[in-house]
Amino acid sequence: MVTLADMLAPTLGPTGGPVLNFDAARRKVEVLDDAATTLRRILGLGSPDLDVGAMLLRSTVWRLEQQVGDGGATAVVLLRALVDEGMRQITAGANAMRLNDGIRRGAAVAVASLYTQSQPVTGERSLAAVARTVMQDDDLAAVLGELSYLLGADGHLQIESYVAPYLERQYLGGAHYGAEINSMYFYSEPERKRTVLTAPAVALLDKPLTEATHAVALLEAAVATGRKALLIFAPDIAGAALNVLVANHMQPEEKRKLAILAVKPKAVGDERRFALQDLAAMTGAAVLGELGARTAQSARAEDLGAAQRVEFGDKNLVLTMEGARRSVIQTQIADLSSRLAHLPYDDEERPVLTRRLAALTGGIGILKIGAYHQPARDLRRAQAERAWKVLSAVQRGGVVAGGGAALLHCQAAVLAAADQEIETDCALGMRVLAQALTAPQRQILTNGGVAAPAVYLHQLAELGAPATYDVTTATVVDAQQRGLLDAADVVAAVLQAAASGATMLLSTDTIVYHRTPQQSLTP
Amino acid sequence: MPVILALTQAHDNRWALGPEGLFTIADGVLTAVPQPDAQPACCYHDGERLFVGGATHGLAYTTPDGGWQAGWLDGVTAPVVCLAGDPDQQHSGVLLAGTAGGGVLRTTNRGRHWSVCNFGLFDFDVLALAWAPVQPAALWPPVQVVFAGALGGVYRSPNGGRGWKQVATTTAPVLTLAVAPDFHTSGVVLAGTEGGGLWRAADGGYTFAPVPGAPQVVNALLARPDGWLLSDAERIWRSADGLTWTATDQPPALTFLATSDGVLAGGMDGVYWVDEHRIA
Repeated sequence: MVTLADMLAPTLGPTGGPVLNFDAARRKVEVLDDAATTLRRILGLGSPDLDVGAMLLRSTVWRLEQQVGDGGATAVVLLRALVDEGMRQITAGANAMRLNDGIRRGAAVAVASLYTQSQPVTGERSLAAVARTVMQDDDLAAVLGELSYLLGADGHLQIESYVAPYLERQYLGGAHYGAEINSMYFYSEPERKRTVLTAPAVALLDKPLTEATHAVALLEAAVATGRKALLIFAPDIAGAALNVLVANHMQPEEKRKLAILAVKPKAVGDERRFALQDLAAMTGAAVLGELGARTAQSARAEDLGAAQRVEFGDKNLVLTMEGARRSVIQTQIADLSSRLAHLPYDDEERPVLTRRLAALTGGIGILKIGAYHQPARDLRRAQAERAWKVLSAVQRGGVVAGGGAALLHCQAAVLAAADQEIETDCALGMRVLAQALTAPQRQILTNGGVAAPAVYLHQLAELGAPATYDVTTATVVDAQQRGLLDAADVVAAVLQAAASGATMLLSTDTIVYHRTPQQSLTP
Repeated sequence: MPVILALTQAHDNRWALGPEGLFTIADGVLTAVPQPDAQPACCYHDGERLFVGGATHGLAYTTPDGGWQAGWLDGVTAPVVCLAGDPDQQHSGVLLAGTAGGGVLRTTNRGRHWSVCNFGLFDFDVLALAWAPVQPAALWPPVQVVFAGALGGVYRSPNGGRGWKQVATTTAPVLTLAVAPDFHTSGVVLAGTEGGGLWRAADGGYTFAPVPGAPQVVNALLARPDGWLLSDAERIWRSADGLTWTATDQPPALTFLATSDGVLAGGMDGVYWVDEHRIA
């Protein structure tokens, strides 16, 4: 554990550079700039005794990375400080279990204190400033700050890689669904293979539409709504029904009552069911067929929904809902947001929920990044993904002073709690934690070449939040004004992960070695 | 005298536009000129072309031979009711158009092609648009802030209209917007509504709050280096900070245009110069 901690501690703070990992088997150099991936590349230290601690540290940091995207090096430094001081106290006679209890309770007090320091983030400038603390790429940080501001905490971001230096963003408004057009005649701009419907009625079907009578019923219902266009979203439209729709659509414009677009979704199974469910919420339409109360044949005007705009092109249907529907779907948005909030960051269901939420809340963002070389491309992509997780956390929990200062500012609260504690070893555990809270800031000062870190630690503790030390200018500054910020959720997760890892190490009495260790794909 | 809804200028020429047509302004005299739309609603000159937005043909711009060319509007058929050019438009070629029902259109090639840019908009009746001045190069991160006034509130875009975020929910339509010339230091933006009073932001447009004591109906706003002008249905008001307003005896206006000769106002009785001495 100490070996790995010593390796990662110098990477903490803005002065640390990336780690180059040479993969001898593939003769490939990899550029790593986060503690979690760096640790993941280490499969063993050559001795079973060393490996136990190293793998615990590796697992702790990897889980933290998956959860919040950042804070690995801080957690390592904090964990090491906790273990060093905790071991000293246990060696001196403290009860390990009570000491651990004190560390856990101290961590809870520190997390509460952390959130009292937290400030909400209001705009793209603050978000970009936070992104800049995660990466050393100002341009990418600025774009990510803007994307996060516009997409929100649960926004859906797609990252596309390019083979040359490139940085651009695109915003795709509306709900996007992969779909195929049922007839080329439905293109309103055939040369562009594109159709735009303004303020159409929307019919949603969960069964194929093949009967002419069913198509006629839908057309009559659409005319009864008073709208001039109709979107039909059905698993398939063929035969006589398609002929009726094409014949109506192809009438001369002065005689035509409805412009029609009929598409079939590419999605199948649950994905199609969710798409229908979300489209029904966005448009106010009833699903006709097996799921709904009525079929297409008995469709009435009130069974059809409405949209502000529908655009089809490039096998993609984009539906923009009417502004008034926004208030109606708030329950669904809240439900999806709540489910997302309770899912781990690496859960498989997460991207599906995020996509559905993006459809309901107005769209997705696309980040286009590139570099000449694969390692640089991978690094930029990894940085963007990590920063995005951090920015989501920032929007939920706000920001605190960066550079380890926020943890330092929790020290007073933990010491006050320790003074109130009557159980001696438990209070000792709290003091161990309070002392360890200075370690990340101390390490950053050391990495920045500060000769007497204790002087600045004392000064920062005196000033309180949101003071921090700016290594680049070698001054104590207001973190909010200078934009040296960390996500409160990330710092809280770091604290909890470090406390959890440390208590595990401090309470371990016996290690059982297996002749053939259990293999696992995850660290 | 014709009703004037919009004013614009380029070089030494000025134009006024209203339901009765498009006019050039010379020595305070309006002279009708050929117009591209039967129901024009807004105009804007980018220094090279005159743009006219309206109900019949959406949006058209002048061609070098003196004719009019319709822009491609990405399938939007809603009337174009307001136009605003990027302050750095000479280089970027970016203009925004607000429509009554179709949201915001954005062009990057001086009006030939317009694309729908409604990301983040939930209100597609966009009645006013206002760009913030170009951000000083020393500031980070680089932003191009622009505001849109809609039926139900104010939207802010940090990226020149590519995406929007609602920053104020108002009880009445936002008819007019004005951004302080020193926006990047003061962060002041005003939004005037039709019956919901005047709203002010002092933090770069992230949060708006109603201004107590200001007129309830705000038809026109103008930001100047030395203060603000506002017009309700009765008269023009002035303010140094956008918070405290004083009524003047100047007649009401529907639009303002800051020129090198002073402030030109357009209203129910054509155009007139706002008397700086009478409002000072």
